Amino acid sequence: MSRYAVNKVLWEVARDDALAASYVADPAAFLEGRSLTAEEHRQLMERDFAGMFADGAHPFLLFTFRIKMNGGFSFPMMMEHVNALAGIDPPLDIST
Amino acid sequence: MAKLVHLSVCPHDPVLPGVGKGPNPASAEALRLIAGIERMRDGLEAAKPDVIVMAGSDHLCQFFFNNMPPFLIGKAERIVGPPGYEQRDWRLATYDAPIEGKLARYILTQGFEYEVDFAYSDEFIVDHAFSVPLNFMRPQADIPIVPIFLNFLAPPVPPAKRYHKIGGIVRKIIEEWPEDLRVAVICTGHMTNGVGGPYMLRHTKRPESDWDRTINDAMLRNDVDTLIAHSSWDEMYAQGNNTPGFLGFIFAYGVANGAPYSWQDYVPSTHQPLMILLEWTEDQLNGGLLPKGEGA
Repeated sequence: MSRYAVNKVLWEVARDDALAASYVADPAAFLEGRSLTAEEHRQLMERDFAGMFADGAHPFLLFTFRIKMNGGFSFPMMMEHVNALAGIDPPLDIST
Repeated sequence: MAKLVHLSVCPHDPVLPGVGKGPNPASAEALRLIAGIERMRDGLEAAKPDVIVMAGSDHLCQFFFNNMPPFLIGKAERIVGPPGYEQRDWRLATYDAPIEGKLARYILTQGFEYEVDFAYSDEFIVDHAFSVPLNFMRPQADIPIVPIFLNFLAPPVPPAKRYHKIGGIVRKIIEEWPEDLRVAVICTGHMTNGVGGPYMLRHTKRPESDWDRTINDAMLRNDVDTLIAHSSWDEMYAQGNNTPGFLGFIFAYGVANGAPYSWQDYVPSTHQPLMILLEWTEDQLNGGLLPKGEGA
């Protein structure tokens, strides 16, 4: 598991407009060469928010990543995010 | 010698600055918080501070897991923020004020003497954790600031007793500063808060948790040992992923050095995460007139 590499993708995309644009345009190219497991790679390709959360991605980072993908904050997006994570027992250890 | 003349804990919820300004009516609890913050702002004004030391966090805005400081002194020329994406997402106002570089460097180097190895930065930005409380408490941005970053978002973090201890050491250093200045300390933090996680909307059905009640009861008794005992990362994180932000309160209790607060408001709500406001006045911080537990 390479939680650090997952968090780094979330961080770069959430914080940098140019990096976000390149992730959206070609996620496979964006993820190339990063130290990700096959499962982490799939989660980031498919934007599997629930899967990343269950595996211990940083929740605040994950949420700001989702806000970025949504083009900004909205109430329906927040509801969708909460519902997507609702069935998961949150991992208590999210350290990298 | 410098004197501590004000201490407060002000929330940094980015929704608060917009209360009453949008199309939706503000909740009674939101208005109560705004009124309470105005009260604390008046308290700060009355204290006539020459410098404000502000302790808050970075929300993985610039500090990341590649280089994560537990405690950092900001000693750039100015404190500026929040970043563009926060202004865009939450329509937040900028805060831009000078930094009191001499005091910042004094806290840094005296900290080393007292065995606190602060990190430091000459180039940084602050996010809403600083800009929201500062815009509430000193919108004129005319008093120089010393920013202290506390990591309470990116685990592992130091144990709560360290935040308490370092708060006490920062106060001691302020009081040893040879210049005859009046210094205020503003802190910020969270109670139960799940922003970003599955508990993000839990307050809509359950405005307060057992943990919140335990914390509030301990505050009412000025029982700092109990506050610290319930501030392990695991216990706080289980309440909601941002709850470890309570470490900002623990730092404030370190600065208070045993003095009971002068005023507190505990505001559970179905409209927003639970928040607490805390204020210590100059008298209360320097000998105090009120016995333990009668501060409210």
